[in-house]
Amino acid sequence: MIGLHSIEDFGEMELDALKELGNIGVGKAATSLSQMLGRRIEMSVPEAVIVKIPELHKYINAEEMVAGVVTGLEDIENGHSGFLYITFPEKSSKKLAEILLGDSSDEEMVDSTLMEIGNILSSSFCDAAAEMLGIVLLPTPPSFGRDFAIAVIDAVVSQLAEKSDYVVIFETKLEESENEIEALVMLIPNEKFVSYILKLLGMVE
Amino acid sequence: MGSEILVGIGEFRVAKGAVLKTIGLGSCVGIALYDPKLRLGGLAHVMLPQSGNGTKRSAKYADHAVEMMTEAMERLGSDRKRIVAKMAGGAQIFKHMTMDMLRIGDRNAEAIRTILRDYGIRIVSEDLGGDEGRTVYFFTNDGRMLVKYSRGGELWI
Repeated sequence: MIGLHSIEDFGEMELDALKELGNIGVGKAATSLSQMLGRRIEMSVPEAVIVKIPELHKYINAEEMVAGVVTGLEDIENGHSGFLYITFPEKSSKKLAEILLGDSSDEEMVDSTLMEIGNILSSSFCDAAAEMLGIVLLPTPPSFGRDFAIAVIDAVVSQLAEKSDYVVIFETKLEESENEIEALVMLIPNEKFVSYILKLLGMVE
Repeated sequence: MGSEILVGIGEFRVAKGAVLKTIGLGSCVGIALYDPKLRLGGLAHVMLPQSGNGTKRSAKYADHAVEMMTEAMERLGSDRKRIVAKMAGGAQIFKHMTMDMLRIGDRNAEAIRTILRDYGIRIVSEDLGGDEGRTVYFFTNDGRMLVKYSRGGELWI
């Protein structure tokens, strides 16, 4: 039986477990994106960090304008498990629409395209993570907003702030080889889910 | 103009003369309290409308933030009767939203109005709601608040 870890007490083991899961999930998501675009997509060296919420602006580029897709993660056993947050800088969101739609002038169309990409990325992420852990992990339909990177996510962070003053974030960047497209993928699990991952990975008896 | 002090998410700061700044308010609300006589002001970046039973005191909750900021100002010689409030934020950033719990901006704004009323603190101006993120600057030397919108444009309140 494992006790509920609180995020501020997480150590290397918890962060490694999160990295392992994140790597597999985002790896699969990168493959899906690459197939969809017909271009090679590379994944940066991921980071897993514990961030004190008041210092989030040091970690998320707070005032950068992004197109952001947020999905909730639900695992069958524990219910709500956390969030996946994918952001596209303005330039990349335009470029993605140009590749997929041939033109980026209709903002509504661009928005739905980005949501659909977010949908595909989060589904791939959940598939791979679920397969690795032997669980059922489902993404909720995506929510979408275009604003300051921190303003898009603050409703989600508020949700997590009810339980803790800290969030744990797994973050990696997806980059297309010609540097025209980039996306930031963040996995923000709740503490229950990280404890569950640890148990499933056999890192805790 | 005084120096600039950054207020993080869920924090508050009180200052005399300095410019208090908080960035990237989405559903969160920036609450400023001001004592015009002492030219003393405070700014909080609140995330949640109401603390629960037995929760640790934290400025992330609107009720605690108002309480803590008022107390801090009183310690510096302020009188609650003189304190007035300004606030900005509480937007609905998501254009497409599937999770109802993310609709927190309106709840924040409503809760803060009630709390301030209970404290007898008058709201002199506000810029709440809408669908745009905000960065706010609160000038504690004269009580003005500058709201900058994510898509450009600004407003003095």
